[in-house]
Amino acid sequence: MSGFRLARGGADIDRTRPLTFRFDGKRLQGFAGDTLASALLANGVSIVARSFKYHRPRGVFGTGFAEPNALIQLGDGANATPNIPATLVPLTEGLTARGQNGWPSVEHDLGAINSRLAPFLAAGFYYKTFMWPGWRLFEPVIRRAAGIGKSPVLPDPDAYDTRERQCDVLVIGGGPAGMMAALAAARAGADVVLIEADTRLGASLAVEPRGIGDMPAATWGEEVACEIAHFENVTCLTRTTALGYYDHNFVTAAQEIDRRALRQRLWKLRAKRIVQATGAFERPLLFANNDRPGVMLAGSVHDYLSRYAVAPGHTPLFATTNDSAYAAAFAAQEAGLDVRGIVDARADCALADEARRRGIAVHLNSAVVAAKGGKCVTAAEIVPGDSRQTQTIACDVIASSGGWTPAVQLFTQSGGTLRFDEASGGFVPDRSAQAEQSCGAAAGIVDLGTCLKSGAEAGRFAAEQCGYTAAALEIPSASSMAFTPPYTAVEARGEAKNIFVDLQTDVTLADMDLAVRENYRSPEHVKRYTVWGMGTDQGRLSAVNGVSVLAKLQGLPPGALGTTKFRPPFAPVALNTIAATHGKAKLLRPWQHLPGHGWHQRHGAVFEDLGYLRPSHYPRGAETMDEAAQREAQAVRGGVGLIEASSFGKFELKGPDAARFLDRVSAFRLSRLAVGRVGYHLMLNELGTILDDGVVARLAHDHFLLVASSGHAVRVARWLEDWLQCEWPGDVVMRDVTAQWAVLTLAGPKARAVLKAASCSLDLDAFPHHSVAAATIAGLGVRIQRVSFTGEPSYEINVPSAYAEAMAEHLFRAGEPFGIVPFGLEAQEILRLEKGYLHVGTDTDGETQPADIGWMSPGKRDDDFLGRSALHHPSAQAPMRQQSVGLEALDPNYVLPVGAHIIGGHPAPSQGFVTSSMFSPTLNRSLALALLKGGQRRHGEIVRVWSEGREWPARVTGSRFFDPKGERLHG
Amino acid sequence: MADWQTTSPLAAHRTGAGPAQTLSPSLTLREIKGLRLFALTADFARHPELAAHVEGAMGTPLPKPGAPSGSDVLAIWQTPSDVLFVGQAEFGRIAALQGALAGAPVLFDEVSYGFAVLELSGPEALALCPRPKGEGLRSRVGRFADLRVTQLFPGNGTVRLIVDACEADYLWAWLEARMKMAG
Repeated sequence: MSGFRLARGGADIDRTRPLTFRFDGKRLQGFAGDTLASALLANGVSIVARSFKYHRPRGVFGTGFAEPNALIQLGDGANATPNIPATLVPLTEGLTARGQNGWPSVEHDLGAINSRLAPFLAAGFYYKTFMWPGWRLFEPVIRRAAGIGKSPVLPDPDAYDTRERQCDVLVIGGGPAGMMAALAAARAGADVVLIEADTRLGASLAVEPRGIGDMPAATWGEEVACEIAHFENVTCLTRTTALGYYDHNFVTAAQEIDRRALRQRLWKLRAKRIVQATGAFERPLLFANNDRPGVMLAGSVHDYLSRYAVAPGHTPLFATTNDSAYAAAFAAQEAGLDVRGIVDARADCALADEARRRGIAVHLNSAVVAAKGGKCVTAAEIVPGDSRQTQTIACDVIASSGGWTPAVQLFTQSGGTLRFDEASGGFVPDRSAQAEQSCGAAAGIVDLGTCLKSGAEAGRFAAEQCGYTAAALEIPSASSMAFTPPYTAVEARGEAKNIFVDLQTDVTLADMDLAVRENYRSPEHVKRYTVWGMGTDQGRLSAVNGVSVLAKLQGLPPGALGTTKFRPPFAPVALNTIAATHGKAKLLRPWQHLPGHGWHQRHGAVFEDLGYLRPSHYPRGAETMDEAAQREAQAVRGGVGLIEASSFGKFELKGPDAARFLDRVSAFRLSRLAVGRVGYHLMLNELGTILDDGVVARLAHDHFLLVASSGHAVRVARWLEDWLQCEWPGDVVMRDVTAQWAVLTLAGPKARAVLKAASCSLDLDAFPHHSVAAATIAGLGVRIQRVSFTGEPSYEINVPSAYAEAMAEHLFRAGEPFGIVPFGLEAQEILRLEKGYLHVGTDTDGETQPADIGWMSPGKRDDDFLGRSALHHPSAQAPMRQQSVGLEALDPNYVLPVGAHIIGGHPAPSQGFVTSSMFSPTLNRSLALALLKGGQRRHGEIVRVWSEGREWPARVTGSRFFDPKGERLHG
Repeated sequence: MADWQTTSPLAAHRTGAGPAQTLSPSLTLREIKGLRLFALTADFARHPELAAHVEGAMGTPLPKPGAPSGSDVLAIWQTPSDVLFVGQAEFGRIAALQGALAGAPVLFDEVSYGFAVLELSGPEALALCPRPKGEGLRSRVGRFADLRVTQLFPGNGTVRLIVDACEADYLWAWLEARMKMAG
C-alpha cells in the first residue's frame, strides 16, 4: 500500500493552505480540510497503529466513525488524548499524533510477538489460565498489557462548556435525508435543531456520481445547506455528534469547538419530535488477513478519492456483495488508478458490463478468501464460486463492501425495536418507543431519491405533530448508482484464525467458533466472552457481521439472534465534557456564601466548604485550628460568642392544617406548642429512622417556622413537599425561606447582656428558653428565638439577609465590653459535644431510632405519625441495638479517633464506633460520643477502642458531660 | 481556601457602592439594583377565590408557566402555588394585594433581600440562555448552572436571572467563566 495525493480534485481540501503536522515524530504535510487519516494516506503512511491483542499492523480502514483500526494518541503532555480515530481528527497546523499500541514504534513493534503466541491467547484465555498459584499474581501484568492508548496524567488544561436547548424538531444527521427533514420542518415554521457530525452538511454527496434534480449532487447539497443556514428558526450544529438518546426525547451531543479556550461543548437537547437521519455504515467482508494495512471499505476509498483527492494505493482490487463498490471502482479508475478488478459474490450484476466496457475485470460468483502480504497488502487470493482453486491477483488495496448497515444505535437507545431485513442483510428500525422517526439510510432505504423523499416526509410529519401546517415539499429527482439491492449476505471465507470479525478487539472467526463450542449462544454472552463489539467503536462495523457469523455457527438464519444492546455514548467523549455542566475546579459544584460572609472575612475567618462556606475558626496570630477552637469555646463558656447560623434550613408553614401536618411529620406533638414557643422536633422516615432534628417555632395559631439542620435542609424540604403534595394535602402552604433570613447567634452567659446593650426591644428577662418573638434591634425588625446548641443561654437573631453584615457588626460592637469573640464550627463542635447534643447523620446512622438516642416519648405517642409503626416493631426493642453513649478515654489527654471501633470478645467483633471526639477545654479532658450495642445498659463499662492496629481503653458514660441538668441553659 | 470562594464580586453592591458589571465582546453581565420582590405562596386549587383576590388587586391575571403577567409589577409563575412579584420601588398594587389577602391561609412577604438579579446582554446572552418560544415577555424556572434560577426574557435580547442571594456569587463566577469561553 502506498497512498498518494492526486494532482487534482478533493471537494473538502484547500490546496492553497498547506499544513505541517507530525506523526510518530515524522514531519508530514497535508492541506486544510484534510482529516489526519486522509493526510496520513496522502503521505504514504500505511501502518497507523497496532492491534489490541496480537499487535498486528493496522492501517486506515474507513472514514468518519467507521474506523476501527486507526486509533491514535493525539497531542502530548496535558493535552494528550488517547483512542481518537484518525478519521475524526481535522488536520491543523502543528498537530502531533502517535500511533498506538506499538513499542518502540508502530512500524517496528516488539509486541508483535503476541501474534506468534496467538494459539495461546484465544478468547477467554485469561478465564482459563493463570489460575495457579493465583490470578492476582498475574493480574497486574495482564492489566498493564491490556487496553489501548495511554491516559494523560497531567491535569486537562482545556475548557468545556454545556448548553441546554429545547426545540420542536431535532434532526440527527445532516446527510441528504436529514437536510430534507430539516428543510421541511423549517419551512413549516418549526423550531429546528439540526446536528451533523461532519464539518458540513451533505458532505457525503461529494461521492454521489449522479445528479439531484438538474445539478450535481454536491452542488444541490451546498444550495440546500445554504437555505437551511438562512432560516432563523433553525440551529445548525456541525461537528456535533449525538451521544445518547434517553427518555422523553432527551438527547445529548458533543460539539467540537475550534476556539482555543474551549475544546468541546455538551449539548442537552430535548425535542417534541426527533428525526433520525443517521445514515448507514458499510459492512466489511470477512476473509483471511482482512486486517492488513491496505484492506479498506470500498465506500471509504471512494470518500478519500472524492473528498480529499487521496488514493490509498496504486492498484486497488474491489470485493463486493452489492453495487456500491462499482461506483468506487469507477471513481478509482477515473482518478487514474490501475483497478485490478471487481470480485463480486453475486452471479449476476447489471453493472458488470459497464465495468468490462471500462476495461475492469469482473469476477462474478467469486470471493476474496485471503489478503497476502505482511505489513501491507501485496495481493488477494480469490476463489470462483465453490471452487477450491484459488487465483492470486496482485494489488496494494483490497476495497470491500458487504452492504450497508443502518446506524440504529440511537434508535435502539430510544427504546425502539429492530427487525432483520432480508433484502439488505441488516437490522432496520421497526417499532418506535418515543416521538421519533427514522428516515433515509438509517431506515434501511437504499435509493437516494427515496432517501430524499423519506427525509422530507419525516420532517413534515414532525412539524405537523408539533402543531405546524406543513406544505408538501417538492422532492427533486435523483437516481443513484450505489445502494441498489439485492445483496448477497457476507460469508466468511478463508482460514478462521485470521478472519477478524471485530478488527478493534482482535476477535476472530475462530474465537466466535470457540465460544459457540463452549455453549455461549446469545450475542450478549459471546460479546462478553470474546470482547467482540466492546471496543471504543462499540462494534459499529462488526455487529451485523458478528451476529450473522454467530447465527451460522449455530445453524440459524442470519438475524435470528438479534443484536447486542447498543448503549451510550455512541462515540467516545472526554469525561470533562460530561462534567462540563459543573465547570472545573472552583465551579465543580455550586457553593453558597453566608449573608454575613464579608463580615467573617474581615474578622479573619478560615472557611470550610460545606455547600455554604462557613467559618471553621478565627485564628489569632499563629494559632492552629485546634488552638483557636479551644480558645473560642472557652470564651463562649465564660462570656459570649457570636456565630452565624444562616445555613440552617428554614421553612414557614401556614394554614388551618399546619399544626396537624407537623404532628404527622414529627415524632413530637408540635400542635401542643403555644404561640410564641419553640419546640424540639425529630423527623423520622417510615422505618422510624431519624432523618433530621431541629426546632419548630409557633409564630401564630396557624403559622410555624421549622428549622432544619444545614446539611439536611434540601432533603427536609423535599421530604415535606412530598408528604404535603402527595400524601396529606391539607390546607397548608409551605415555603423555603432559608435564603431570606440570616441568623446570628449570641451564645454564652453574657449573651443577654450583649443583646440588651445592642438596643433590643424585647424584655429579655421575661423571655425564657424555647421562646420566639418579633422585636427590633437598633430599629431593625428582627425575629429572636431563644434556643441553644451550645448549652449556654443563646439567642438566634433572624434578620433579613441583606442586613446580616451590618447586624453582625452592631452586635459585635455591643459585645466588645463583654469580651465577645466570633466563634466557628470547630468551637461549636466542642460546645455541643460537651453537652452531648447530637448531629444527625454524624452521631446517628441509617438505623438509629429515637429511643437509641434517649428519646422514649415518641414510642409512647398514641396518635399516628411518620415512623410510629416501626417504633413498635420488635426490632425496635432488640437489646443489642446500637445506642448513643458517651466515651471517656482512660488517658484523658488522648482524643479518640472518630470512626474507631469499639471491640470486645474474640475474635474482637465490633460493638460500635466513635462518632464524635474532641478535647474539652471546659472539663480539661477528651470526650467522645459513640454508637454502641446495648450502650444504654453499659454505662461504667470499660471497653477497648481500636483503630488501625492501636487500642485504647475507655469508659462508657452518659452523653451529657457538662451541665447535665441544663441549669446554665435556663439561666 | 482560594480567593475565588472568599471574595464576593457583588460585595461592592451590597455595601452600596454601585452595581457590579463585567464585560466581554459578546456578553455583558451586570447586577440589577433597586428591584423589589415579593413572594406569594397560596393553594389556588383549594382556594380559587385567592386567584380572584390577586387578579383584582394586581389588575392582571395570574401568571402561567413561562408567561409572566403585569407590566409595572411583573408576576412570574414559580410553581403551581408560588408567584414571584418583581417591580421597581412603587408598589401600590402590592399594598392592595396585602390587604386583599389579609387573614387568608397564604404566605406573602417581601423577599428582596433574599434574591439577587443579574442581567445578561449581548450576542451570546440568548445562546447561553435560550429564549423559550412565544412572543413578548417570557420566563423559565428551573436548573441553570446547577442552581434553581428564574430566567426572565423581556424580549429585547437580554436575560434576567433571579437567584438566591447566597448563590449569586457562584452564579456570577460561573457566568464569568462562560464569558471567557465566549471570547
